[in-house]
Amino acid sequence: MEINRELTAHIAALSGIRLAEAELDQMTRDLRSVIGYMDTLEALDIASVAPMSHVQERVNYTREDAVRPSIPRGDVLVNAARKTDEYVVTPKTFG
Amino acid sequence: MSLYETVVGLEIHVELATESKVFCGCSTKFGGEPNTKVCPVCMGLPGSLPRLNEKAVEYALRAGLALNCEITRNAKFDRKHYFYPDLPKAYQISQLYLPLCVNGYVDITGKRVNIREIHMEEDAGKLVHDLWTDETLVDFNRCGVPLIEIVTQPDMRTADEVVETVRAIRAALAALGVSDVKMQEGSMRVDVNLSVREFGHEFGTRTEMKNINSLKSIARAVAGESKRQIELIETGKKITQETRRWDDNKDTSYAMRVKEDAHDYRYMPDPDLSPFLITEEQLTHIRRTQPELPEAKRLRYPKEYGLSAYDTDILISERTLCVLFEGAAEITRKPKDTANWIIGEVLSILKERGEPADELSLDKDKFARIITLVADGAINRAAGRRVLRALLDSDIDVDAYVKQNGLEAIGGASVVDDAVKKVVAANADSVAKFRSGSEKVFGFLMGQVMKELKGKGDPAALKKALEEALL
Repeated sequence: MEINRELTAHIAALSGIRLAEAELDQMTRDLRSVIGYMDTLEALDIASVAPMSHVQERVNYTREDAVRPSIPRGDVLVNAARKTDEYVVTPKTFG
Repeated sequence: MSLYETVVGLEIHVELATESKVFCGCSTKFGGEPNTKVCPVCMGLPGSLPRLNEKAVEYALRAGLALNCEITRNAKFDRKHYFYPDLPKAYQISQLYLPLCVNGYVDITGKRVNIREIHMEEDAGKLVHDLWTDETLVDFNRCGVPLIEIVTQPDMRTADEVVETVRAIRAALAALGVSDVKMQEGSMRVDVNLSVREFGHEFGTRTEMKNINSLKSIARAVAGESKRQIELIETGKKITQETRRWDDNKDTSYAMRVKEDAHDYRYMPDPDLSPFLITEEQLTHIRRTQPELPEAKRLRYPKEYGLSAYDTDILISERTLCVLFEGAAEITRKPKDTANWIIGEVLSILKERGEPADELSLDKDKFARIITLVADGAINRAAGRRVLRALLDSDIDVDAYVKQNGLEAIGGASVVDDAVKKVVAANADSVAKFRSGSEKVFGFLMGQVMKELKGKGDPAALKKALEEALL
């Protein structure tokens, strides 16, 4: 995959991250090196290996359908930059 | 005839009726104080770990089997990334690569609508727009409520087919008890993917319409969006692939955002959730304990109860009606009468009051008692209707209500005969007309006798007495 400034800027925009010009260059270099390493892995012959999404062997780690107490609303809102007594407040957004 | 054909596929989000959320123990109850059913897991706080609710999996499997799907035995969850205020983790846990159920279908009149997949995912929070401050308020209570998303193939061609498909899916899910399936409250949300094409041509560019919250608005949205797209084509303009919001008040849709491509979501397997395997034993258990589905009732009602196909279809369209019918018919032992009372009386009262049938809760014993009283001639049908209205308003005692309001039918021969004599004497003209062959005055005379009895006569007894008097 070709990693260039445009792609980095696109991913930053999708993630809601603002990058300065210098950061954009640095991030592009970093991403290129990470994805480049993936290309090294691509060279391996893995035809006989089943796809694996997880390294741990545990499966079906489930729980019963039981309600447990939630946390106090004050704690929910504590990290919000702007809030009312009940809600987190954000700039105008349409649901 | 139009040159254009409408092509519709659906994405239906359904909230599963579990007590707790899909990856944490917060309550899923609708409504309540904002931001009080929230914890570090559904807020996506660092260090928290999700753990799958086994009931949510069971419900999703029940839905998949009922909609004739193949079940994926080694399912897993993926992260779908997007940045929006209602999604505190900035990704939604969903299933892209291995959806739990695939290749199902639902049959509607004259055609099969194929279901591409049903996958599990979590709901997002709710955004409330504050008109005073022109800001948006965020309530995270709905974050993490378990959902299934049912994705159909683009197999529907008319608004009627779309409505019928939604109805069939809703009826099946309601019968299973896996969801409230209330469109108004948002526990069932139908997104309509629609394109138009000239007959015989390739599929056109499609749009996705959201915010459609009743069966009626589905039909209107399909008609409205088809018309808009055809007008664009005919004036040589391009259709943009985008998400549109249906506005039921204005009867039109407007663009919300240009649709993101799948790769913009940067899907990846969720490393926090272990894969889950569906075993044969689990599936066997679920199959054995599946409630009877509307399709099975469609065959059973005519056979077992002697109902017409038409009546059967009305009853099986709502789970509440099936429950009431089967319960009351067992008591009255008069299934046809019982079906008539539900279809003819209960439904028309609900319609008149604008109350949805899916919220009907009528005590089957009391309802059956009304039917029996009328069938036995103890009260007449009009009185039965009055008791039914009272029962729909509040939890009355049927026999006490009949007594208190003096609704008992007057069937005693002497009382009826006296009334008939009185009416015959007072209406000599009409009697003469009847005797000279004008049969329509009979109804008038019946009415007079009924009036004499203050509306409480048993019509059958009354008719017989009047006929004898006029011979």
